[in-house]
Amino acid sequence: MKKLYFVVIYCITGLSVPVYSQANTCTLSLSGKLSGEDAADNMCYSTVTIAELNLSILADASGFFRFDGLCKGNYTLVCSHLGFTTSRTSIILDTSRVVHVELAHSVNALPDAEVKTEHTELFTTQSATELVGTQLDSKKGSDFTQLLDGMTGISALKTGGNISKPVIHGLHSKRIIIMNNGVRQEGQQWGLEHAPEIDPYSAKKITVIKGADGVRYGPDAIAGVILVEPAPLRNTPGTRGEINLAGFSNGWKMAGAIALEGSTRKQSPFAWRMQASYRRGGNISTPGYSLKNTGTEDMGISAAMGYIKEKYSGELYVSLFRTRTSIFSGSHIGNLTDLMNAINAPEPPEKSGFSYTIGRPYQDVTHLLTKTTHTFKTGKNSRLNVVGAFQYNRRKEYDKHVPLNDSLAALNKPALDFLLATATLDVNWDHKIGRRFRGMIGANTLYQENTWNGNFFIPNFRNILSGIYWIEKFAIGKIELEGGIRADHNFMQVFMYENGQLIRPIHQYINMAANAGVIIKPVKNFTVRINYSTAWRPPSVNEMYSNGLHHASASVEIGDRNIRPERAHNLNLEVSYENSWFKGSVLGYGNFINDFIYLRPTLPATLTVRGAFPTFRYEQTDALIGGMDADIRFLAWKKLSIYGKASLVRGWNRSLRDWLILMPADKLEGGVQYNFKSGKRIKNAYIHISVTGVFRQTRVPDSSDYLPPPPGYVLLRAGAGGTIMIGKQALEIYLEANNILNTRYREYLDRFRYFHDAPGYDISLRIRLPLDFTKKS
Amino acid sequence: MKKWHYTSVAAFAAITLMTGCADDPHDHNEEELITTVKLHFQDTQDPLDIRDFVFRDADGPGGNAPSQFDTIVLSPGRTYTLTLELLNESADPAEDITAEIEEEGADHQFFFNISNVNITVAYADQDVNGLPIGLVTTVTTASESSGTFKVVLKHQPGIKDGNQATGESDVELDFQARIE
Repeated sequence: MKKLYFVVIYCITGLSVPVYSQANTCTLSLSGKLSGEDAADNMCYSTVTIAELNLSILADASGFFRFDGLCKGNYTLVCSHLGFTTSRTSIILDTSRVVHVELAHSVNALPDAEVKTEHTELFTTQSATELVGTQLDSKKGSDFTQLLDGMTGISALKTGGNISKPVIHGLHSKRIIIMNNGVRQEGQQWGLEHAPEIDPYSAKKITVIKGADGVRYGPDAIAGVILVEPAPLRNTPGTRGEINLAGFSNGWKMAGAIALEGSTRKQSPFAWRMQASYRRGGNISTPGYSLKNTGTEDMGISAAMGYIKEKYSGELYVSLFRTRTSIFSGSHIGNLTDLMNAINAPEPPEKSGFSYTIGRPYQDVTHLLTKTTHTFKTGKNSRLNVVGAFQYNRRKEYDKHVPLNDSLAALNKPALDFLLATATLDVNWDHKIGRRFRGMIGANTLYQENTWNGNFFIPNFRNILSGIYWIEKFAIGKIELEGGIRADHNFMQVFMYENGQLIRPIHQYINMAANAGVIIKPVKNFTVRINYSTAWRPPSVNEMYSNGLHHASASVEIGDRNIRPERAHNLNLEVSYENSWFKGSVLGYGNFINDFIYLRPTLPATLTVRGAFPTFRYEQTDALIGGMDADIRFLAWKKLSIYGKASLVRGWNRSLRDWLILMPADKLEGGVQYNFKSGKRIKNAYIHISVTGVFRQTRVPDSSDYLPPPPGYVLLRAGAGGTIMIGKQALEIYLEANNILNTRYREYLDRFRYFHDAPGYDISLRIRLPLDFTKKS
Repeated sequence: MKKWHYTSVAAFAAITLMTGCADDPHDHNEEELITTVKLHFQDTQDPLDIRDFVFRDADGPGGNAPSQFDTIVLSPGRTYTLTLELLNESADPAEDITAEIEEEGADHQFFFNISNVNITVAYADQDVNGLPIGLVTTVTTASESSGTFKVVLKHQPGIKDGNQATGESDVELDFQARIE
């Protein structure tokens, strides 16, 4: 029986890590390159193991690997990469050798390895960035959106220091989809101050697809998709786990998570995994003052149980996440006069010291996800995947003040209370025909109900979405082509009272999405990706039914029930080059969005008992959002890497011939990292320093904002990390310092820039302890 | 076989948790909305001279525009007692907010900003800490003129100190005012 080693893949910032053997008299080296059977295969970070020495290293981003200090002998070289069949090559080492290993595709799971989930293989020619391994581990404990910080093309839409949501190429909320463990995350994502309710500790890999991907993921994926994946279940016998701890100086935040996984015995088809996490923080500090009422508390637990056999594998997964987030006290304003007083005050008038208390106003959100996955092997290289899931999202928002009436106040009810229940069923058949064709045919169904309590903001509704799609990839030589097509039907019925009458309006749409793309490797080390995608999104319930004072923004927003869906035409071109000492890529994109829905200021202002409020109506226009993401990295002497990144976005309202509001400002980042030679006790140690510069956003529409965009700023960041071996136990330590110069600044995409500065310096220490309780035989 | 049991239980639970609730929504009912502000002037020398001026926005912010926003008209050279009354007329029966403001007088203060019209306002009530509330004031008029009489209600729990700029504005109304 072939024994296959299960290998965990983790990326170490683009460098391969040489491993030195114990004996000094052995000086031979074994090096080489891994490649896949197709030109487009990326063998980055494959695991290469010398079986007899129990020595494992990772290949670098191009598939190069190297072992040094080996003795003469006969060895078995085991190479593996997710999605490929592990190869075993016998090598007789009597002199230093260079080898070339080619791995064959495996659509099927590695038997007696992991439950293969249908999203592990990306069916897209869009540009995608992965966050995995050390790059992710060195950020654990941060908020979900902050994990993505540093990826070009990605920004964050913030509401103060505690709430942030991801922005891809200038778009966010209902124009991107977040897939949480293979399930479309459904919360009240239309809200600008509603952060994704995902436990950041639950992710083992985060992939960001930059560009429309409406064929595979359905409506709403106009600007991109974020795939959050936990560690796959594996039935290698034994019990393993990890402990993660983090502490942050700003807000004196503490965070920790423990994960355990295992399988009962050899040859057992069962595997399990459990994880629990907790985070607690107090008032955040800006360089000049503390922010009153900015404490937070998050907790998450999840459990998975899998059954893995060759012809069938199945998994049951449950996760529960709860977050309580206080909202800065001074942001609660009564009317425009209050807002102007706040804008004109150099510092918030309400002062505070430090406290962990979570007080009013605050948000209390709970998200429950239960999911069951079944994978059937239907042919040598094809699988049928079925995923059924149920999500429950309960969002309670508590106002700053309790009602004046004492008996009402005693009830301590939230001002806004939403319950969104969503059931989804996804089926797809993932197939391979011959060596060249690989594709997927699938269908998705979503059924969702929303109910509210407290004050009216959005109505009750029932939402049903069904879609079918077909994607095929054709690979030949240096070219890979992909095409896909999808049709969706969306039925939404709203239930609400208007002028005392119950109305039940229906909104129904049928639309298609399509994409066509090509990946070419014209010459060695060059890759060109060209992609055209068209996607759409139905108007969201707040865009149609808002009608009233939006306290948080001191404005009256009026929806339009006749708004049509948006239609996006996305064109992307990415050129990348990579060799052993240089890696660079430039992505240029343009997104034509017709019937783009936005808030347009209108006159007259609305008169209320609190005075006049600026009034905005949801309207449609034709928009064009374009930009460029660039990443370059030089590697000198295998130890020193110098990198630069640039993200530029331009958003243009074609109909009004003016800029679009809330587009990210231009951002540049540059840094240096030095990797130390790994020794017996200390491995993978590094230090880095980087500078980030954000320009002032000058491209904004006139008279659309209370305060012009803030000035540009420069932030300095540095850190160090490494793995300490205590006997056989590894201990990973990461030390980071953000905003070292304690720069005072405000971000344009922070809705609280009217009230206070961005956070000051923050020093964090993270520890990761991988555990293995398996008895070595 | 066991896996199918879990799936069907989950599906059943999902359906039962969902059906029925969305179809039966609440009617809009904002608690403690201030829909109506009444300014009740009574001449201190001539108690039969009573003038009421009203701001009314029955459905609250947004929706229909305010249905009534009177202009204040007072006689020159007189002294009036001004009493304020705040109501939530979207509720049935109408909620009296005035009583609640008085109860939590230590957290509230009315401010009066006059421009161009010859009116002066002096506080005539106090909260438990000796700071004025402004539900009752003494208003003195001089010669004929016209301008704006702004009434502001600030909610300042824990931070009330006579400063108009802090706390949140629950009411801010620019009444047109004339002395004639």
